[in-house]
Amino acid sequence: MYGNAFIDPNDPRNKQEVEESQELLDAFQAKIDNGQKIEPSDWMPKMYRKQLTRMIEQHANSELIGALPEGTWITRAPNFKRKMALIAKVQDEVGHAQLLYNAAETLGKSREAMLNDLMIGKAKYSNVFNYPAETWGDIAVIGFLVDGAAIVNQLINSKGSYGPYCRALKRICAEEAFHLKQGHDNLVALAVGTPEQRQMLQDAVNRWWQPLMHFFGPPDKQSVHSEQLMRWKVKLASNDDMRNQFLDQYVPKILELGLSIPDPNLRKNSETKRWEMSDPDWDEFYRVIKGDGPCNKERLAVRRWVKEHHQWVTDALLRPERVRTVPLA
Amino acid sequence: MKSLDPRINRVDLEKGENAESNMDNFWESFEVFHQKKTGTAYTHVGSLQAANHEMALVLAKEQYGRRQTTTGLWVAKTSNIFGLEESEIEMFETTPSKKHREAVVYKTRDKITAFKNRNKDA
Repeated sequence: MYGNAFIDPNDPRNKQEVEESQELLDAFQAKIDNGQKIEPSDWMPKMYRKQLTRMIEQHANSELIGALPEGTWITRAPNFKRKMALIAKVQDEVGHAQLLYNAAETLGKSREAMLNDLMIGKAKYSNVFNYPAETWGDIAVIGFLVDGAAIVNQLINSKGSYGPYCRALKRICAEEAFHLKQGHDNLVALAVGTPEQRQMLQDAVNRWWQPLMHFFGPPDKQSVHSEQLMRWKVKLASNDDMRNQFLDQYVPKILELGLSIPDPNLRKNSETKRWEMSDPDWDEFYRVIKGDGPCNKERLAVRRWVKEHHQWVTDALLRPERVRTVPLA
Repeated sequence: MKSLDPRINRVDLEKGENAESNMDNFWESFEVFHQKKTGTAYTHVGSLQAANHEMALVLAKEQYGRRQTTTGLWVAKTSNIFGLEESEIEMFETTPSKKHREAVVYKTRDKITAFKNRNKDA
């Protein structure tokens, strides 16, 4: 599971800061145009390294924090089969975080620094995980629709230019197939169940629709997505294109179960073949990014608690002769 | 802060307020090699962090063995793996033709047929 990395184009850190030799830049671009992957030991522009680090780091953070809202429900799963599936899925998410932290580490930032930036609220993760899972219906919606949205994003990113990230995503996408299927199974079970179950599911869909529309980021007309990042295959599709692809795939699957979508203006324009919708509340999106969502404080408090209570394990196993190494690939 | 999660409410989250990261606390990086089927080659599948080899193997089982058939796992410290630099790879691009090392370039049938025909006439 994953949330789209949010790169603020107005942030001064995102400006190209150093002049780099045109010759090297051209050779780098030619390699990418040629479909070759960039590996950790290869030369790369500073800005490429910086943007990728932040993108993979945010992705890793999202996997780690994303395990929390679902982990909440392991003890309250409705039956043994659902409980086993949920445990396996949550373990996968934490495993995805580990794969991604490794990929980010190959770019030079240490894992401790990344976990620390997450804990002190400096690093971001997907907004969608700052909303609570109130009922078991939320778990069905997260498993099917949030993971579905994440897969749209991750499949696109797996075609990117950085080798370690692509390889991690390939593994992750293979595992997500199970997440999606168990999520759908869970959702369908509620949808074809009692009126109370259907109502619980509909309430969850209503709660999650806006966070899902936020998931792919601000509309293209608002977000100045960098041409450069597209050319470098760091970003591979625009926010609106990904959102459109998600709606194409998932709206029919929601409607066929007789559920409704809480947006009276949602419809597909048969001429442009694009979805039209009411504008979600983007002020809320930015508010949650800045730390003021329903669960931001709790999520970080859990991270801090884990850090403090588990530190003794790390400390007990430390050996003075160890050397810091960056993963190979 | 009242959570919707009963487990969260059972722990005293305030206790974590003083958590601090010490950048000197780190484990080493290990590379993982995985075998899918007996008799096939081990393949590099990724890396992980661990305090020692034993722990690296335990984590490798979870991370790289839990969702696919596994007949073998190796771990090695990243610092013990040596490879070529990007600039050194270029030499392979300019490797001259090594046709003399390929089986298909050795064609003898025509010569044997010609030889046989010559002997038949004689």
